[in-house]
Amino acid sequence: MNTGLPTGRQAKVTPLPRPHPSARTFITVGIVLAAITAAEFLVLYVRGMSTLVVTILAALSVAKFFLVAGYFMHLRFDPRLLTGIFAVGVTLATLITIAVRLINMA
Amino acid sequence: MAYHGHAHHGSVHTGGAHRSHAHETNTGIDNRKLGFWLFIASESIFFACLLVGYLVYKNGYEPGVGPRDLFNIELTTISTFVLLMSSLAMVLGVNAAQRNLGRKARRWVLLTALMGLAFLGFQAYEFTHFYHAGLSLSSSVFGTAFYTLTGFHGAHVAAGVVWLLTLLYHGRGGGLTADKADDVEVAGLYWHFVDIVWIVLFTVLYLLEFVE
Repeated sequence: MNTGLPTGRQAKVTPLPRPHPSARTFITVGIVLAAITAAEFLVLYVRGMSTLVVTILAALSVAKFFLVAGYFMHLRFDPRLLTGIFAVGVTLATLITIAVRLINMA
Repeated sequence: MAYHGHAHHGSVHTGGAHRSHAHETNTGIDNRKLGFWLFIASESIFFACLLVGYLVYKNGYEPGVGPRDLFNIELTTISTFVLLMSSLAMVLGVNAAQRNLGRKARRWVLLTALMGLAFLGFQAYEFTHFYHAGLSLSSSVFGTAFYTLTGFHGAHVAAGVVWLLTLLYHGRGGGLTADKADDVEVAGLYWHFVDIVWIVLFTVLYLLEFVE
């Protein structure tokens, strides 16, 4: 692709970020977050299926995490470099948690 | 479609209104925003260390003053809802600032700060209740780990409220208009991060404790 730049500088082309969504989209995401929180509370009343309930709670928590990070923090729309930076932090945080838990259980 | 980062102004049209910026960057991303994401990444690791400390020590308590004896899951669900909705108010404030709706942005930011204060009120009530029930910072390793983790989160919320109040002060004239949109957005990033941390803490500390 001809970027109009000298040959040596053409590698520095960055994808254009997408526009941030409308207020209506943010309100929809907010409603979904509220509904997930209500579901998290209600699922605690399910007895005798702890593995299933833990899996559901983990999935709902991850969904909320990605909704807030993706929409409210604009990671779905901003340059991917920002997602990469956050992913490094979250990955290291997760690995630290898993590693210490494994050491503690050993 | 592409743009050239090194020949580009500090940010882009992301909210529908023109936003002026004082500097150019190699990445095409405002340096404050880039730096703040690096800060958020490091904060993730900070909270992970506190969380893993809690997970290691959470069973170290005296009979009758453990998580299931003390936690009020209904109350914490309500405070979680309040914090989530504060994030919604914050993003609507950022959106309004980017569209140069200064007074509207200021109202949303004010609502965010008020909901942050409400969350802190819930936490103060919870801490007081736990203390009177026999759980202090030094009564058990569970108490130490719990208060340290949730206390640091609460301190982050309190710092966020102060930040939002300073934004409101700076926008007291014409509101939080498009020229202040980047400031509002960075404050918003902090606020949403504090919300994300609570999403994890609410599940790990509270919800999973009540699974039967």
